Amino acid sequence: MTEPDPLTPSALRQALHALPRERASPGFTDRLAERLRAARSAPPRRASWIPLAAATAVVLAIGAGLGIQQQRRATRELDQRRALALRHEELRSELDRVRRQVGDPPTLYLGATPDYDVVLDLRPWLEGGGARPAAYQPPNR
Amino acid sequence: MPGSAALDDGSLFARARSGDGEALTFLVDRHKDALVNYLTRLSGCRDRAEDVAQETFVRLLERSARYVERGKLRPYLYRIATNLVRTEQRREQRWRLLQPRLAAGNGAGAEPRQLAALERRELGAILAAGLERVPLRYRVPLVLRDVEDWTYAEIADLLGCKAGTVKSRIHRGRESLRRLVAPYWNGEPS
Repeated sequence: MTEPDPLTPSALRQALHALPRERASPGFTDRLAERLRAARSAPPRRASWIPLAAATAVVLAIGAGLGIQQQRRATRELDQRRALALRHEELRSELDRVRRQVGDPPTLYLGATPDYDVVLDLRPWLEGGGARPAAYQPPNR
Repeated sequence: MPGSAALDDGSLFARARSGDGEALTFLVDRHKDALVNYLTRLSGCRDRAEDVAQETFVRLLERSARYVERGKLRPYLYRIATNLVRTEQRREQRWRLLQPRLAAGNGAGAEPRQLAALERRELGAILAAGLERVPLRYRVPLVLRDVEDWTYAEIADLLGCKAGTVKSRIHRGRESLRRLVAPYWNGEPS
């Protein structure tokens, strides 16, 4: 290659065109034919997306399974909490009722004046002795 | 097979894909040298070019069902080859991102100064090395036009774009190559 001067587009093109041409090696066609024969006799390749799709399906199935299991566990726990809350409410009501029975004096409110409440104490009556009036003073006296 | 040499690419390929080994041989022999030369200029490596050329023909046969005969087997063949080079280049780029030290030792990444030191008096080698550094989107049409003598229409066919785009890319490719080789071409000190 002679050295062209200056480097014009035309000179560049000529230089590119003058580059030595590479040729395929002598055994190129035979090697290719051999390769094609081997490919034909080999068992058919599965499409490359099949293993990927299978792996994705497995991962999705495991993920879905775990998700469903977690959802079920959460639902079960919520049900249990609700049942416990309900039972707790029932027990508290029952306790309140018992407390009222034990703590409150059995009285009958009859009326009031500005200075007094008129209340009938029923405890003696319950014990067989007959009811008697009981007076309660206002709390600020 | 008498007369096979006179058959056009489409007819040879039709016979080859129906299992005619001789037609395949004719077809391969017709294109292998130009394809290897093209791939050598594209990849910068003769051995790799031969491997890619082999793979190109294998893919051509594997995907023969996709080819619709319109008298454009050569652009189809070269499109497969070009895509293989593109794929390889992308793989190399990813590898370089992971292995910058290894990339530093790769000839494709050599600096012009290194190239000059190695090949100062060999303009052909410098040109070939410079070609390797031209971006692939410009290198493909440049090599097809200036090395392989394809027409703009044929290149446009291969690249799937308009002839005007091809001309523009070739111009950019030449400019890029000119910038790369000018210092050595004009004998400037590195």
